[in-house]
Amino acid sequence: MRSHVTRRVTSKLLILAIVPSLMAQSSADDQAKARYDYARRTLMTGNYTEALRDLDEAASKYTTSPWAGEALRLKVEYMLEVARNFSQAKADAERLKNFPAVEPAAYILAGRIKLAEDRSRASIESAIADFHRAHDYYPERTFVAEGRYREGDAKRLNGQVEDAIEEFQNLALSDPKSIWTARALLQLASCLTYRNRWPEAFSALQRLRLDFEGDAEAQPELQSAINLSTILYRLYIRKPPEQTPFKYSTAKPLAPSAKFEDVSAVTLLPADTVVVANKTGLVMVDADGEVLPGVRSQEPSAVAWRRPTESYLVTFKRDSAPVFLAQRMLQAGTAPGAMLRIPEPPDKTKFVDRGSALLHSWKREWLVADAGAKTIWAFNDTGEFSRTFLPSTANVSPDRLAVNTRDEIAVLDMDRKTVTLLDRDGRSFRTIEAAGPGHKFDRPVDIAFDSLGHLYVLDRGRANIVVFSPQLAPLPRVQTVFTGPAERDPGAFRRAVAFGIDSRGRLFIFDDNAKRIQVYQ
Amino acid sequence: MTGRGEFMKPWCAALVLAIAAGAGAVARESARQTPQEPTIQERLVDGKAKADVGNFTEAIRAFDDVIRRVNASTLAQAAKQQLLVEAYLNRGIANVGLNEVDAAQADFIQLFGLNPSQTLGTLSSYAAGSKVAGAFEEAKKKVVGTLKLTVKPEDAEVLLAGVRVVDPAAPIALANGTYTIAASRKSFQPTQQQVTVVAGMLLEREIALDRISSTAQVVTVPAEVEVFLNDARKGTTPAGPAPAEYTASLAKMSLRPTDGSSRLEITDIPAGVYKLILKKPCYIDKEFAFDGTELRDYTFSHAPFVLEKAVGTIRLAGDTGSVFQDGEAKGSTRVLTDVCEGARRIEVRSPVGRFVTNVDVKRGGDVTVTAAVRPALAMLALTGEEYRGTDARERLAQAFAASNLTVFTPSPDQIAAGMKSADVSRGWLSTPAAGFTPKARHDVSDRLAKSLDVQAIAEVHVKSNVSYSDVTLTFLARGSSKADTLAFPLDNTRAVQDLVRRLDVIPPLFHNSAGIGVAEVFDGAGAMAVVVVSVEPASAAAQAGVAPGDVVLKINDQPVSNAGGFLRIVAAAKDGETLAVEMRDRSDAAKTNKRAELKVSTRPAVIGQDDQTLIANRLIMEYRRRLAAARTGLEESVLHLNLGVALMKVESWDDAVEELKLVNLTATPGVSSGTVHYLLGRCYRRLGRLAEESAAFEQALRVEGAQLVVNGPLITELIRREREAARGR
Repeated sequence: MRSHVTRRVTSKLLILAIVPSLMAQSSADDQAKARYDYARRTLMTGNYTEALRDLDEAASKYTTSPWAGEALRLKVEYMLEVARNFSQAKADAERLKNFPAVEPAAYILAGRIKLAEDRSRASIESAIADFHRAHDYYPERTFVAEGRYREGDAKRLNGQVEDAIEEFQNLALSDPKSIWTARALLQLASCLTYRNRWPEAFSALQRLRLDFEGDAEAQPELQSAINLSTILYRLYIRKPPEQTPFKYSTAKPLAPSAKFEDVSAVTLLPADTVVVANKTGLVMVDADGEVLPGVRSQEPSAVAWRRPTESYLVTFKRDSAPVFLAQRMLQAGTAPGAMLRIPEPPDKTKFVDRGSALLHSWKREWLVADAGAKTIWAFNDTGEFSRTFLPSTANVSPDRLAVNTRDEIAVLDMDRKTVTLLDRDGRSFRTIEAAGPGHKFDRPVDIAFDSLGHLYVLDRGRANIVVFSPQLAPLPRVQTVFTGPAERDPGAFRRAVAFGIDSRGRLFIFDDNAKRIQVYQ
Repeated sequence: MTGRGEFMKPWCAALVLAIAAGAGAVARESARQTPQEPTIQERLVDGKAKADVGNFTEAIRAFDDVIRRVNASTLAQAAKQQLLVEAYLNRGIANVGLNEVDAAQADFIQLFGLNPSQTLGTLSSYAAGSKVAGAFEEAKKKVVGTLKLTVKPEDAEVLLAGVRVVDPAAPIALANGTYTIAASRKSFQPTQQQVTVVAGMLLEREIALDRISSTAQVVTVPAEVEVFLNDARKGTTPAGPAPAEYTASLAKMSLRPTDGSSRLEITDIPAGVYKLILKKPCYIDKEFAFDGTELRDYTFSHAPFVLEKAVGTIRLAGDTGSVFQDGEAKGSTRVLTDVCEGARRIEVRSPVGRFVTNVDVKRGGDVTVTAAVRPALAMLALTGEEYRGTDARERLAQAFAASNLTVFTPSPDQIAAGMKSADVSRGWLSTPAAGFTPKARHDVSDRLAKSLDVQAIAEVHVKSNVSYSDVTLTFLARGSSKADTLAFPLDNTRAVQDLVRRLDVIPPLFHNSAGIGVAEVFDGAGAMAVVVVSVEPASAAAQAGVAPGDVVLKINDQPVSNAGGFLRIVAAAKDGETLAVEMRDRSDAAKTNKRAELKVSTRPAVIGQDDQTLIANRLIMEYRRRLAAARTGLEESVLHLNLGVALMKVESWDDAVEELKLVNLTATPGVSSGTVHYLLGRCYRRLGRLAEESAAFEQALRVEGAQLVVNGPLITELIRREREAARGR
């Protein structure tokens, strides 16, 4: 009897003990979630200090709550993508492994940090290993698809194109409805195109279009798929022997009311906004042909965008110093900026000599082509000199720059009529000479890559565009000549200066004679 | 002594028993005598023998001795009484023999004191008129009187001095004295009175009971009918046969006594008007007005109440199998007759599933039920925390009611028997720590599913004791080696609906091709267009001049705005159907649109072995079901192919090989014989049959364009990669 009573009392005590414990747990969850939610909102407004305070508190004070892991994960994302504080990001990612619910995410973030910091072969391979761990060690978790996607993408960056294809295909087979599969199918199409397996690339893109039809989350990928299909169709399918792959679009010439003079560069933002640099500043035209409020600037000679998600543009004054790094250029008005200085031994600095081209690299450096110095300089985000990317000893006059999705940089030397390809570290690995099998440049004036990695060379002298495959073989059927009997005939150009390519492969070519930008599609 | 009444019967019976018992007792008493001394019984017999030869003096001495020894003995009272009755009777007779009439009468008086209804019995020599009879009767007159009762009603029960009188109407011999008589009967006021019996006198008494309520006798056809008076249940008519007095009325209805019930007597019915209601499942309820205002015993003229059957007919169409009605096996009949009115649960069980439905049977109705057998999943155990809500299995079963699965919980006995037959205990499936190998899971699932006559078995695990927010369903198809586990909040209706829908998604077995591949692009005007990107050689499209780059404008006169719309029309077409397509030629020079007739061909499709979104165990159940109904050889082949891959997904490699060997596809591009050989090779590898793996891969390589899945990787490419990887290892 006594033991029976004891058991009853004990069980009551247990119940009493469990109830507050459950309540406490619930309360901890609520507290952690409140901090996480507030931090998310605060991050959106740019108040990073306050957001970090909450994220740190959620992660350290309520460690038993699943929201603690989520908070730390968000903090790592911030450190990686915004603050670029890799050491802190790494430390936090390591801590993240203590939160079982998001442990695989810790590996994914670790790999991403490595790719953001260093894209040497060893670093990429280490990242690949991290991504692999994320999906191999935790096959039941929700991060499998992302891990596989990122492993494939890292292999692609590492030049392991066949392995990347396999990885993307496996992801598409194993998790056909994941958003990461939609992204993988885009990359798969790119890799297959690189391997000249464009019919399969078509299949991958079409599969994306069909399998994700109506999927709101996959809208950007669905749009990209049709854009890439359009490029493939244009370059590999459409052109019968008797017609050109590009046609002049009479329906939508770019901003017919706008007068384009002294255009130095044409660049397209990811949303297909055309940015035209002329002597008074930047003219911007949206994808529908509407002219947007422009930006005043003194004779910008180049223009580039920093990140697809950020409203940053960079320009600098043509043929004269100083060179400005202007920020937030999508807001109308005069751009504030930082003057770009380079070291002048032994202990001085000077302005960049003659900025001719500009791009933003994977490393978040501004690569400034200085045709006068035959050098490409690298500056950090705030305009401080960081290194010499391509020294003058390479004997290349960098008149134009273009970068593809493999971090490869094409450098056009107008005088030598060559295009030099540099790897992500600035090492030259290939030069397209002025003449070669399937092509001959007369006066190349601009270059650009499309989304699938085809290289386009605008040749003013021959009034044409030469297109090279992602492996830099000329596509002989698309040596398009744009001429007409009269200077302002639709589609004709006589004195092309610059051009840009939008996401669906349309060409925006500025002709200095006709003072117009025509759209070819 | 013909007046011996019923009252005497128990007395005599007691006496006989007493004599028998007495004999035993005497024997035991005798055992205490010295060997030379005769027993009491022997002395009694000895006395009778002496009397028989006229030696009355010795006889009397013997009887004296008996009487003395009996009185001094420790024998039971009944035995003593019996021996004394014998001794007094015989001593009285012996005294008459010696002409000692007074002494004889004294003996007989002693005798009547012991047994007032004693007679001379079979002693013929003491017939009436003899000296013995005279002395016997004289003695009787001195000590025995007679009681004659008249009881109303006659069937009332009468107790005399606490002993039931079997025949109260018969005279009862009683010794002088006062006795208590009690009488009772159902529906009458019980009564009791005292009577004084005087020797030699006849005492007549009437005992009349007052009726206070009615009784009613109910006999029904059939038996076991519930009887109600108004709303009060009065009992169930017992099993027959019917009492004899009902035979005639039964015969008039061409019924036998065995068709009727025994009598149900309803007592204590106060005066009033009633509804007599008769109910029996499967029969039409009957209701009678019953005027019981007069207090009496109602027999309803000894006519039984006959209930009519309330039955209908259920006809079964559709899938065949073993039929069960309310759990009772009915064989493989397609017509169920005499089905009781009301909600009936009809089941059709086949090796690939079961069909369960509730049919509302109407009296005389004829219902046709089309059975569509659905794979059955039996939820065996509920594991994890104890949450005091509705049984999680019950809730799941309800959620799946409208799905393509039959999900249910067998009875505890069935579960226990199944688990015992498979030698597993609760939690074996949902608890990873149970440590079952794939082979063990394969065998156990096979045994359990067969034992329960289902296609899959499951366990439901509840993780919280305060809610159903985290519940998992772990299930294995029959013969599966790897379970599928689905986690969901059971208390979230939408999530459960999603789960049910997800389990009903079965990938198509075929896909249609119109001989061209299409893609969506932006055309020259910036509008979206559907363009031809590939044309199958030798197809109707190729012969019609369709070429890559052509823009598809219409199909079957319907404008084509996107590839999805085009492909949906192709997918809806039948094998061999022709689709009229209008296209804009890829050449800018073409002035008119071209038209082509595209012939649709239906081709096999197969699920991906690595597709993690598929629920393989569910697919196994479904493919087996469809195989049982496959109409063509091609359909069968494709089902075997998909079933084989589903079995590969659950690591039942041997079973997968068996299925894949049954596939018969041609050696064409796409999903074809090359696919099958490749999959067989993968199985062989897992089974360690490397020579067969190599041979299978070689055969696969010979099929150009074979793909792993529709629009999937080429088999040749996969084998190349695998061989490279193997070399790397």
